[in-house]
Amino acid sequence: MEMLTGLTFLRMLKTDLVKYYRKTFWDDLINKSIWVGCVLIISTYIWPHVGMSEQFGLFMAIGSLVSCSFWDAWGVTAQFVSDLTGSREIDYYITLPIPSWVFFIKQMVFYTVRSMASAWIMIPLSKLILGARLDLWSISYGKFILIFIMTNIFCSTLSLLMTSLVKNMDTIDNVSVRFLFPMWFFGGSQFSWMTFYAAAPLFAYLNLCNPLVYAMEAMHVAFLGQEHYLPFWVCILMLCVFSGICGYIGTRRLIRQLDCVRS
Amino acid sequence: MESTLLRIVDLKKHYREKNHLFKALDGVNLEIFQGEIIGLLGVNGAGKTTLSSILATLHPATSGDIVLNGHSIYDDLAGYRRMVGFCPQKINLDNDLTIKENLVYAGRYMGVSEDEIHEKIEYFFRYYNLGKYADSSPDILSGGYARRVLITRALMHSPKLVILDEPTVGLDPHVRHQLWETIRDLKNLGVTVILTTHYIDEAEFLSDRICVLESGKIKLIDTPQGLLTAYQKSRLEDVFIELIKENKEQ
Repeated sequence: MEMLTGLTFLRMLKTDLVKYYRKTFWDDLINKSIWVGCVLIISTYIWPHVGMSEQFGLFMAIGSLVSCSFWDAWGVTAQFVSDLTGSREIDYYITLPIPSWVFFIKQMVFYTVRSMASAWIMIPLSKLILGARLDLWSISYGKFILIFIMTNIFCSTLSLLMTSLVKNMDTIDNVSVRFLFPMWFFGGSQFSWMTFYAAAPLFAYLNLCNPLVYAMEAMHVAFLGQEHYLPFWVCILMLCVFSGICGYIGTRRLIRQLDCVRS
Repeated sequence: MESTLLRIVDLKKHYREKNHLFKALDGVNLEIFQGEIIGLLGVNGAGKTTLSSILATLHPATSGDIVLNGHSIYDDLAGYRRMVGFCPQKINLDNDLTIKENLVYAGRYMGVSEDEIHEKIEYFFRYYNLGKYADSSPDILSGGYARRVLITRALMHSPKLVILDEPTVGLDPHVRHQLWETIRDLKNLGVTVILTTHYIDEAEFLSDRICVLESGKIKLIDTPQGLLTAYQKSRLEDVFIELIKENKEQ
């Protein structure tokens, strides 16, 4: 029976990936390239003329690897909410011969793979725009792969939690403005935690409750080295903790909201 | 002698909305026999959809049990789900897949072999005249065809029990009649059918037994002929009106 559950899980995942590749993958690559391309061109070639550091473009490029996954999570949240309040394809999946939590685990794995499948484009794109400013040989690839996977796992669990918080499509913007924007702006895509600490120590400590800080810091460590950033392994540990919390609460809330049979 | 497929024991479903306790089902006891078509009839809010969604394991009951072969279905939920096909009221086919893919994946999720999946698809495409839509998205289908695909999806794993929740709601009369034939054919295939409807003619035409639900309870259950005899009426619609009158008087 467990083997059949595992097979059903893999088949559902495959279906989602096939659908994603057909419908969204190429659009995702193009959209992310345009978005990040604009940010990198401006931060690398225009902002230095108004006094910003020459290295700021590189800093933004590294942060964009996390930002892409983070905003991707928002996109899949909107899709999921749209199904819950609309066609309810989910009703079919939660009556398949699998425990209902398996469906939500599948959603998380799908979101993780989907987000990683398009976020990698940031590296060649960044190299193209930044040129010699980005030294691909100085990247710690082991750390990069680990934090890349952890970031996407975290974003997928966050997406599940957000889905459980949104009541309907009319109120979906409330969650993004009240919850995601502060999280992202203070998450460290434009400054390191140490910089924030130097400016406002108390708020910097409070900002340690923001899981995006750990993803951004660890990603910068993988590219630029440990100095000036929070310890890499602490960041990984904290992301594991936050992923566990978001995934657990999100799944529990959705099972309760959808009134699924618990098994 | 009729053999029991499912036994529904004191099934209750209560919802709490603000400070009000709403009893969608309030102690339903019912036996469902192998190979019959049982019609669940009732006015809006009687509990028909709630009962069918609990039987389809879409939602849990607040209390009570559903017994299959002497064991609660919740003891082996996956095993039970493998023998049930569910057609919800709302068309929830995957519009990002073609119609054929919807059916192929449905078979795979249920562990049906590839050969059997393709045999079944070929059979149902011919039977329901769906072949021309095989590579189309479900969203181009009319209500009647979409409903047929939904029924086919529910039949991909050869279930013993099919639950149809308001399968003909909102359809043109001629499409309704076509679907009636489809439902009758399920019985000929030996499938037990639980049919939720608020069309009395539909329940009368299709059902071996009719179970009338009212305010979350079973008001009565009998064969269509038995109901006509008991109420001395020539049409089931008149029996139903009589029942509503009785309820109002009470």
